[in-house]
Amino acid sequence: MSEKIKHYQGEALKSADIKEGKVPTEKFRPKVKFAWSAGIAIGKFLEELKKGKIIATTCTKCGRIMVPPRIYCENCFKPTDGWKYVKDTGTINTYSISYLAADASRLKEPILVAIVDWTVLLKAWG
Amino acid sequence: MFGKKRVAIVGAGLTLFRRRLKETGKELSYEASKMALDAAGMELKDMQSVVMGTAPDAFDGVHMKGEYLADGAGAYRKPYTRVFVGGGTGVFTPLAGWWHVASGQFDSCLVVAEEKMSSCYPHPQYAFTTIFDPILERPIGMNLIWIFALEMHRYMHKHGIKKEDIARVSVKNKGNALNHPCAQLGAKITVEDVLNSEIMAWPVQRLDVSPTSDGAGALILVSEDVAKEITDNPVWIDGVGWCIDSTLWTNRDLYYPDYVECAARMAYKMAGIKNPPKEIDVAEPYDPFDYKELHHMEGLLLCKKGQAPKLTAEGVTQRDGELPINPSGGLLGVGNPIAAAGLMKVCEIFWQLRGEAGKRQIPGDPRTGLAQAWGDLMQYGSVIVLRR
Repeated sequence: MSEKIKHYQGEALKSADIKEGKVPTEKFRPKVKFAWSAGIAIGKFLEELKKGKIIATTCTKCGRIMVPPRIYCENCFKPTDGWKYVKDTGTINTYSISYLAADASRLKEPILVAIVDWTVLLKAWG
Repeated sequence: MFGKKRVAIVGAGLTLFRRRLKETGKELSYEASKMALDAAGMELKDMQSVVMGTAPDAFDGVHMKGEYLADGAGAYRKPYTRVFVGGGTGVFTPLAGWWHVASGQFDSCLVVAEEKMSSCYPHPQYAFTTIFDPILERPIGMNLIWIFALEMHRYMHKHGIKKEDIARVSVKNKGNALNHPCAQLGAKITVEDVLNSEIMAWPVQRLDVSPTSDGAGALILVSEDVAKEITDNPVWIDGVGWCIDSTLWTNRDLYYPDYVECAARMAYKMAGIKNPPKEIDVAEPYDPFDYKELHHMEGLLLCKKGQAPKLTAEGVTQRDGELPINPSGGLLGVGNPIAAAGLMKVCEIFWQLRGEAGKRQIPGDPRTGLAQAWGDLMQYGSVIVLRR
């Protein structure tokens, strides 16, 4: 903040001011719901996953096997070239042990989350 | 870039940043805008265009937030645009203002960034669940803290960085914020305090993270002709850059933000900067988490990959160091009302270059500064280079 400015606007409230009704508020909970189509690529991925298999799509131009699969290669911007099952083991790229639920409430038992590298070069797979 | 006009910043305004403010988003937008106009010695009628930056509508539950905030931002019967690129919005908003004026279409633009996160219950973090892929990601119960924990852990693993190397950033920034009159979380803390704070999603602990906040900021942008008429000390926007990476974030190596480098290179090229660490006198990289300051220093080419923790330990990034980083106190100290937080960084560089930063003023007559913000799913970079 500039030293030329001597006053800054803003009136801080405490959570209790809202809870105890010290300031007028209006509350609203939307009742809207959504149903999303899983799409072409992820639809097939989920169907295969139900059977216990992990399926990828491939791009012969850049040589990638892609999990999650997509119908287009975002690098080459062309359609992918086919489906391919990948092994059910990968390499853990990074992980976290989270004590937070989605709403930022605390979990007694933490959850383990990780990124697994499935995406490997087509050529390396042979 | 034939025909591009030079653009100056001639005024800045900022409200207090607090966990919860009584003012509405419109009222906050008005307060910041009015302060910026007064600082520039201008009136709303002098503003030919208005750009508003504000982040997810879900915080407010108002799904036409740009329109909702318009009259608070002085946009009544003016050309008006709302921009939104996640956490990158606060620095992207003046970039959008820049092209309004640089194009020659307007001689002035009022740039406003607002965020009011406190309206969302039980916690604004829950609104972030609606940013994830609805099929693959949301059912897992994701939150931003743990996806950033994944990135932080990858960065630490790749370079062999320890938690205490990262905690120093939080200590520095919260300390710097003690001198910022708008700050929410200025504090004198130690590395041990950070390491002993609550584990949220390992390796992220409570004091590694910035708070949720309410607040607003504003800037006055004018063409060179107008700037020369109204002020002796304009600050010029000499470089702009922005870039997005794939939303398929699990397919990217998170140890390095390539998209930030891409945005920085674009801004440096425009500003004629060949050696960033030598030519940048002061920088405000985006620091919603302490590791992000380090990650972004590297992406901005202010040091080599993996070297930012070393510079921090050596004191290079302190206010009186060779390359002061986040002299404002950053998001960790001043607070993180998303879009307003990024704009706060641009305000800080503006005040630093004008020598108006008071107790936060860095020594050595700074001439060139940089601010950067980061957003979406660890995929967006926005960069601005200012000179006087």
